Amino acid sequence: MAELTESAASAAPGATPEPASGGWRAGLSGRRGAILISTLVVGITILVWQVGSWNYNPQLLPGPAKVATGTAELSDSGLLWDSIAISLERVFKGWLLGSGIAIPLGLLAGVSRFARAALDPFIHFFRFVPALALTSLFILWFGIGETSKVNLVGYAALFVVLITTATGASSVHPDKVNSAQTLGANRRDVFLKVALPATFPSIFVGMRLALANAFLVIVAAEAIAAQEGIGFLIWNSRTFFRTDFMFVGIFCFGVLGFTCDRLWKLLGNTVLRRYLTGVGSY
Amino acid sequence: MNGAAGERPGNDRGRSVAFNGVALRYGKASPPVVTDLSLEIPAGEFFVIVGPSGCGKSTLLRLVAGFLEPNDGTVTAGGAAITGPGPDRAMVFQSVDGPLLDWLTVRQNVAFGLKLQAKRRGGEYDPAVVDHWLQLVGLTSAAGKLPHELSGGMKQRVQIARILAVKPDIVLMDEPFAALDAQTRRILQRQVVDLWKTEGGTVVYVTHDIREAVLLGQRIGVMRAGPHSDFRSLHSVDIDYPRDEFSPEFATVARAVEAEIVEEVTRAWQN
Repeated sequence: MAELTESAASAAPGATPEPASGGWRAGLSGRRGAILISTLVVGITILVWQVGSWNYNPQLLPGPAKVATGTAELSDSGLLWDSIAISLERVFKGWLLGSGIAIPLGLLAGVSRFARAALDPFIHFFRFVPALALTSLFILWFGIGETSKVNLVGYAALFVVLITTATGASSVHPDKVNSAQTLGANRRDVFLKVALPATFPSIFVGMRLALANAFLVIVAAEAIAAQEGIGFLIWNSRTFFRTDFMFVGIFCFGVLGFTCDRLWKLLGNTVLRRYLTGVGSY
Repeated sequence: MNGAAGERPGNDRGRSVAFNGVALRYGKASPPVVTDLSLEIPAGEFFVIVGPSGCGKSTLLRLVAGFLEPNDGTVTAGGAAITGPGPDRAMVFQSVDGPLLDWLTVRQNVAFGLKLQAKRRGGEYDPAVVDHWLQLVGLTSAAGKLPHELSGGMKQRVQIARILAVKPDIVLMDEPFAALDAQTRRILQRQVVDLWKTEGGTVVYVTHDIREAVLLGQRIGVMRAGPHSDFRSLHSVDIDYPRDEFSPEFATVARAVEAEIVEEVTRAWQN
């Protein structure tokens, strides 16, 4: 929370101590300085990329300008937005499905030794089986429609959330539980009013990591037997040698992932803030 | 110098605590921490337990709290056997960051036990009780803060307030101020005595600090070095509250207790 508070404080106007004069170093300190540095580096990278691309065939390395035209083309035809919508839908459905299964199981494994012994072999076996290995199997089982893709994303999200939730639930400070019992809490109260809220930080972090996993897996899910989505756009562009479209797809993933992650963090900094006092802000 | 032990300050709420031939071991392979330990703490007494590290001081509190069950013998509160934890025997922990619910404000933390009690009775808790306790421990202006915004001393005051708010018959305190700075500790020690006098109840207080023991306790029980520990001696402290730690009477008791503990620690080292 120290860090969460800090970032909130430094976002407030005038909260960043900036000396009136102190050379260029002083100008780069604090949050404004960090944004400046990030923008500058991204700008230079784009410039280098543009200049570099002049030396290559655009079908191998399209420059920023070519990618921008490609983006406009895809945007005008509506394909870009449809792809984003369908991919996001799959990511979110799968992510929520996986988390929805993982959280109760993780809590159970965290608080009950019996449940833990029962779940542990499966957890530690399947968490080393990559979702990509299951792509074809899931299509056989769940068909070529949405179900197989959502399930695949759900599978990828499940184990991350399961492990972080179980770890969190099993490491609730014993004094927290004992102290609540001594105030009259029964088993139910301890679970609902102490263990569950004390596990929120772990669930929050687990779901954040799982979100990144979900984006990883959607490309694989959309590589096979898909007719739409950003993953499909990337794979399909290969056929037409539209390298610029591939770049558009790659950018979509980066931007969407980044945006989703920031929104999740925003949720943590606002609605869930009081539960996340132990979570860092990176 | 009419002994504080004689006059039981304002106390009809406390219940007695009794250990009868208690033995407790953690795990079958390890030797018992305490063996054949017996002690009677009368209702309303402020009893302090001191002894070398690992002698089982906290274990005794945990037995009374109901977190542990003795392997042998009985532990009773008000004559009745103890079965599991309950708000009649509430405990203040040493840990500053553990016990409080980090996601609840100071006010909500203090109300936590009261709400649980009210739910059992099928009624509503009285927010005025929370206000009263916030005021008593000087946290009215911090009522809306979350625990991570408080100092260590403030957190312990929240712990004390929320424990005392449920009006336990027996208050168990496990080195509650050990992690605090000396000045804060001094103020809170005085406050604990004041609260005990006004609120009543039996207090069983564990500490490492001999000065604290003599400052607070009507009686001080010195434990032997573990394993197989029990009480080596009991000291009555017949000095009026608030006690002057620079008085000769104070020094006499402190010296006697200290000498015994040093002897126990030395013995433990030689074993």
